[in-house]
Amino acid sequence: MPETLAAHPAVTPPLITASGLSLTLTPTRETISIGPFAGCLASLNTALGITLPETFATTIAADGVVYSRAAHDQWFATAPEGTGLMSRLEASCMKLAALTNQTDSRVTLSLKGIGARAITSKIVPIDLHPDFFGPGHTALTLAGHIPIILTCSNADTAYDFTVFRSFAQSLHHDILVAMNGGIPNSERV
Amino acid sequence: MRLTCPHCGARALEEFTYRGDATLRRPAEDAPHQAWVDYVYLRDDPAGYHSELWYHGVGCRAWLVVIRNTLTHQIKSVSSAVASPAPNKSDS
Ligand SMILES: [Zn+2]
Repeated sequence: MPETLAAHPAVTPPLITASGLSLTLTPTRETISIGPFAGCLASLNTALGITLPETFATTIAADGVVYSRAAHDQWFATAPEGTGLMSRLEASCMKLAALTNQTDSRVTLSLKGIGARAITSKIVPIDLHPDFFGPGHTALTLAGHIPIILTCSNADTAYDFTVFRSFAQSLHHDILVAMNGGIPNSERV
Repeated sequence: MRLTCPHCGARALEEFTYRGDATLRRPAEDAPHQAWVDYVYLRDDPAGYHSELWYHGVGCRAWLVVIRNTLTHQIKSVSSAVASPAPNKSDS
């Protein structure tokens, strides 16, 4: 019988600190891609009991499931591992949307601390000012050369980088280099 | 150069790929040989505004119609190619 590959973390070390900031590999969340069938978006919203965000944003439903817009006509629903998200979604909306389990495809690196916005700005080319990119905002963009889904969990001090698992170690390296370089003009942060 | 994607906001050029003249239209199947030669090989090189297709590959992966001035690189408009396709050459 073939042996399964041993599970190992997508990045090492899973927690590292530098310049007063921390970079953490967040616990895996069950991630389901939702692609509504043609003309089904309104009934899907009713079935889910939420309005899937129409702009690039993140919404948290009453049951704690997090919905983020991931592309045109595509959303990601995430919930802690072991909470049976796929079967819950299948029960409510299997006839309204294509559901695909994406749990293994991506991981999330969380950068936290004073100056996290300045560090993120070094490698992400979008405007991160809280007026434009505050809590709940999501952007599909680049970190260095790597495509990411960036979310802000706390203005100025906490950013989550969701990345394809195979790019995670390279992104981790890039963020760590940015952290080690310190905060430019730090007297003004 | 920055392009303002109608879905994502102002983004840097490296997020986009240029995909050519947005006014090109595929000829009818029985169109004369010369119409197909024009469609496949011949492109205008306008000095001034030009409707172009750009693909926001790193961002929202939408196809966009960008009206750009080839002399100044001024961007007149950026719109979704699905919502508002570029006019045919004969209409513009
Ligand atoms: Zn876009």
